[in-house]
Amino acid sequence: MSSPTKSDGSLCNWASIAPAFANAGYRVLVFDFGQPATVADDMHAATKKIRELGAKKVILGGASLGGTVALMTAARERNVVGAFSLSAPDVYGNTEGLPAVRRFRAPVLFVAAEEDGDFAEDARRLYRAAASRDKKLLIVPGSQHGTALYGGPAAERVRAAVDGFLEEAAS
Amino acid sequence: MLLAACGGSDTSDSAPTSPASTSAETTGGETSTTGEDELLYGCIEPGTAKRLNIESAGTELDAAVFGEGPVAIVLAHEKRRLAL
Repeated sequence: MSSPTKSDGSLCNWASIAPAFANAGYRVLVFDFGQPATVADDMHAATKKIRELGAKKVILGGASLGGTVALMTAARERNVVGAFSLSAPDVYGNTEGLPAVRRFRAPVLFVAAEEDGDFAEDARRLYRAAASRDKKLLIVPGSQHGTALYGGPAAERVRAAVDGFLEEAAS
Repeated sequence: MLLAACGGSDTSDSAPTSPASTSAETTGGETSTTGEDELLYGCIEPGTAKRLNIESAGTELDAAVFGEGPVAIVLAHEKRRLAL
């Protein structure tokens, strides 16, 4: 059972990161979640929208809860060629990442900071459960969470891991 | 089972805001801003992304698309809630 939302993130979490992906040749969609109960529907709708706009291959990514939702959606959608998460919990409210990664066969990357609460252990759990033959785990020093990993002491390692993953998934 | 608050620092310093009051025109499902100097949604540099809305569960979600190309990345943000 989850309590009502206290303070939400927004698409702005990705505003300083998405342009670099676009400069690398990707079409990047960021969006705001609606209600807490509809996050999976929202991610599905966003994935559908980017296909309508002409994308041939889709990679899903997310931070924290968004990472878990990205993994869940990747397992449900057809033709998602990869998924990655930053600090995704394995279970969070009514979102569950473990069943998703057990189904998802495309490349997958899990990133978390060692001292960010339970999230590093969650990333290890997701990695161990992942059925993909092409799965990667990056645990970095520090306590940064989600998109803040791009601003922490291990930012370059995170950036390189995600960029390499995207290139591989897209190929 | 996660029992802590889930969320984190926003890498942009801008607080999330309602959509910027830019005028817009729709082209093939995408909405292009018309050269306003305001940050899109309070955080996206003008001219770097196209604004659009996504319908989901009866709600219009704010969204933006950066770049072009056949390979797309859909990015989901943090959402801070307490899982009890």
